[in-house]
Amino acid sequence: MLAVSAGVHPRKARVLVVDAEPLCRWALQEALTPAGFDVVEMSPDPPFPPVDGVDVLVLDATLAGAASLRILEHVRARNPRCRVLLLTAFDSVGLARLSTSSAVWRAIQKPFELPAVVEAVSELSGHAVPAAARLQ
Amino acid sequence: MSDSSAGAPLAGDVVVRRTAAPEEHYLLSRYGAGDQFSFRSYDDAVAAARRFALREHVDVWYRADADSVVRVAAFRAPETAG
Repeated sequence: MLAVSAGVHPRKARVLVVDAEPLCRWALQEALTPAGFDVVEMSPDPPFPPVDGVDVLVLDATLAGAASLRILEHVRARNPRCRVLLLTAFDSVGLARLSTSSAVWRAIQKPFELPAVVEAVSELSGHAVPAAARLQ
Repeated sequence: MSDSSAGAPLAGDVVVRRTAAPEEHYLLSRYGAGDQFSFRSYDDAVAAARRFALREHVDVWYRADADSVVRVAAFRAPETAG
């Protein structure tokens, strides 16, 4: 409240979406941007995504090979404060294996509902979504 | 799907399909790929599919069952249309 009354707005939480599927990246950007997040989306192809300043990484855990794990390790090394939301189609055993090997904070199974992702990103980032921007 | 006048989805097209009751959702995917996300109404699902398809110049299909698809929007360039 102090920052707002002084005319200084807190910066938007920055969200990086990494998914091999353009439809998924597009949908997440469309859902998260009006909810007040600064969203960057990219494919998982090398080089590694820039993670400096990223508050939440939304990562497709179904990426081919070990791409998901490599990106998670990169994030943990470069930006340990970044929180991670995994989008997964794995069964619970596969998800548990992936989760215990990296600093995963939340996981949502594909196919997901967009409001669930917005809510999870809001929780992870600590940035509340304005009521008017909430998806139904 | 063998009816050439109706065409068939091509790689990159968006496909909308309904899940089984009672949890009725409308799932979006690209043709040949897995389901990505869902909406609780047909209108929302198709509206989102149309916005993406318009941007990507692909078509939108509704999958009624394993054998039947209906094109609900066409934005694919003529030279690549199915």
